[in-house]
Amino acid sequence: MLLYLARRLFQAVVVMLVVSLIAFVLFRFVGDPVTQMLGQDATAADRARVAAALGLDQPAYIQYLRFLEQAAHGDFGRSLKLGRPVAELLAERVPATIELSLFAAGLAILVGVPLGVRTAIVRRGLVSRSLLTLSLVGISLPTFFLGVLLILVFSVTLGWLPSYGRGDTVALGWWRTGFLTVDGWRHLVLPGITLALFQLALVLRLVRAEMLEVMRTDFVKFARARGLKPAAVYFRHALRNALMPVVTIIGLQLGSIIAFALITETVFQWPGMGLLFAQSVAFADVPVMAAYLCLIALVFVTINLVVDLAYLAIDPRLRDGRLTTSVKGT
Amino acid sequence: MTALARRLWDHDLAHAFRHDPLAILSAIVVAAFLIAALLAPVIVAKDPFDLRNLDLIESLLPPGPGRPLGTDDQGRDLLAAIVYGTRLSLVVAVLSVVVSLGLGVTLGLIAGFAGGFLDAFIMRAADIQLSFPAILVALLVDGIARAALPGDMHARFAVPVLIAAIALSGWVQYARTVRGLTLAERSKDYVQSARVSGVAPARIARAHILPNVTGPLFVLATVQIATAILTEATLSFLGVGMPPTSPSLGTLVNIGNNYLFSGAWWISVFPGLALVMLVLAVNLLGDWLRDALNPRLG
Repeated sequence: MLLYLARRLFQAVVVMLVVSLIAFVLFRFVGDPVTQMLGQDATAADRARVAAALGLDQPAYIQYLRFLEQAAHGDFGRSLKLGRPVAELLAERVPATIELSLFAAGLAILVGVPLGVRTAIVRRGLVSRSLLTLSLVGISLPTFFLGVLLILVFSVTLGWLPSYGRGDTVALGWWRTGFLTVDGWRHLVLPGITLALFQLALVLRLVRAEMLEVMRTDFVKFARARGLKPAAVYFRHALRNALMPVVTIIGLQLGSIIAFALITETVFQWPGMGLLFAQSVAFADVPVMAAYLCLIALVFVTINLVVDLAYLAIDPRLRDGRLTTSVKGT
Repeated sequence: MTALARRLWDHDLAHAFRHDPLAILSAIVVAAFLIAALLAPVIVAKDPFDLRNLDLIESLLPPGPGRPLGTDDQGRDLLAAIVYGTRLSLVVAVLSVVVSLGLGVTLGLIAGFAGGFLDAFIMRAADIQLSFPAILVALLVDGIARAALPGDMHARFAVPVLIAAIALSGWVQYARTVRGLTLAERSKDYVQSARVSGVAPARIARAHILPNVTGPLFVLATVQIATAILTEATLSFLGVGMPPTSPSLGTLVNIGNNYLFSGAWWISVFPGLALVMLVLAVNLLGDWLRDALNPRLG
């Protein structure tokens, strides 16, 4: 088990190193830092001086080590477009993305799980059939188009909800939250639904499929034969065992919620990291792209690691290394 | 000729197809989009991408006689723009899937057939990429191309850049599938005998193994076309795909997004609906094909 843990940690470190290498190559070779600082018309002497000051005359591997050291301290240089330190820009925008993602994930779970259970228990009814069809639409609808439609209906036509930005926020230390004001909540509704719908449909279909799978097994049949009430069979036996893979998928999906937030953030001009990244791609703002890449990689690697370790904690069979191959697949 | 038609009609796949109304409907929708895209210059009188045909006086007009879906901010007829936009979206999607397929199949064959270090290297790279959503990878490739190309060059290279970005975000699926299948084929008798007869490894991989792993790839490619259409639309919507001068469906939705509050809802809604219909139809067709070719999964 310790061996497995060590190997898993080692893999995580390798992934981070590879991503940071890509970020470094991007930072150093795609965007020309000297031209960015001095502009196109600088003299050769000026360029050489700045290059030396930045350490650009050193061998590439030394530059990479310096880049790693600075990145570990959160120093990714300055944004070309906004002229401010990248770390500062990202720190400002992290709360917006995290709050939006948490709200969407919560909505997807709180609505998706009960609906999934319902469609699994009552398989033929009109409600279940419509829910399943709707979930198919939810999966096929492009996020950005859903956002546009919601704005059109609820902001433009009905005028009920705002479609732009986060509204009023309250500062808790450096974290600006929108959870504590009515205006903040009103601004959260449309982007939250936009981001949540795809995940909600996914959770619904997944819970349904897992429930149906578990309800076919012998121990559920036996529970019924013992004369247990249907509710007890459904919730104490079937749902409990169906939730295990669902929890894994939701854990892994958390990363993609944060990534997909960038589309939602662009539609609603939500001031999060994703909007910053999308704008930095449009302006070829290399330092911001490099920093976002490293940050999002860290998020993904951490989530994958936690999910794997949670597996290890929940499923004792994995601990003596008999089933490591099945873990490698995740 | 009639014999061939007879055989096609009696084929299992054709039989399954005739008895699935949803599959027939999706096929009709996909065919309609394909025909519209192919015959765009015939169907549409005025090329909406030609600047000489634009008239700002006709901009932002709601749907009405002579312009069934209204006009956009440049005075383009929206129906014409959608037909040409679909053409662009389909070209980008199909080409990116072809590139992605070529890349993935080659790497998957090498990994599965060569094994050892190459295998480990390729599959590790695939794992790392797979842990990020495709849209992020595509955005990153697009951003790198944008930073590497001088400012005015980017609009001209929008199509190849988009194709590269989407292709690079999708090769992993093919590589994994081909590698798995190759590993299974490698130990079979026909490969062993080819090996013993002294056929070069590259030739075994290409001429002996590849033809035996194409079935699942076909299904995967169909599904991936839907994904590629969506990725293209999303990139264009985010403003890093097709430029407003030659808009794809995603670009049109993005343009319309700026005019929602001035009441010009049609610019976003109609291209978006076209996109949803196209993606849904391709997806349903892909699902049907997968189930029809592999009854065990049904």
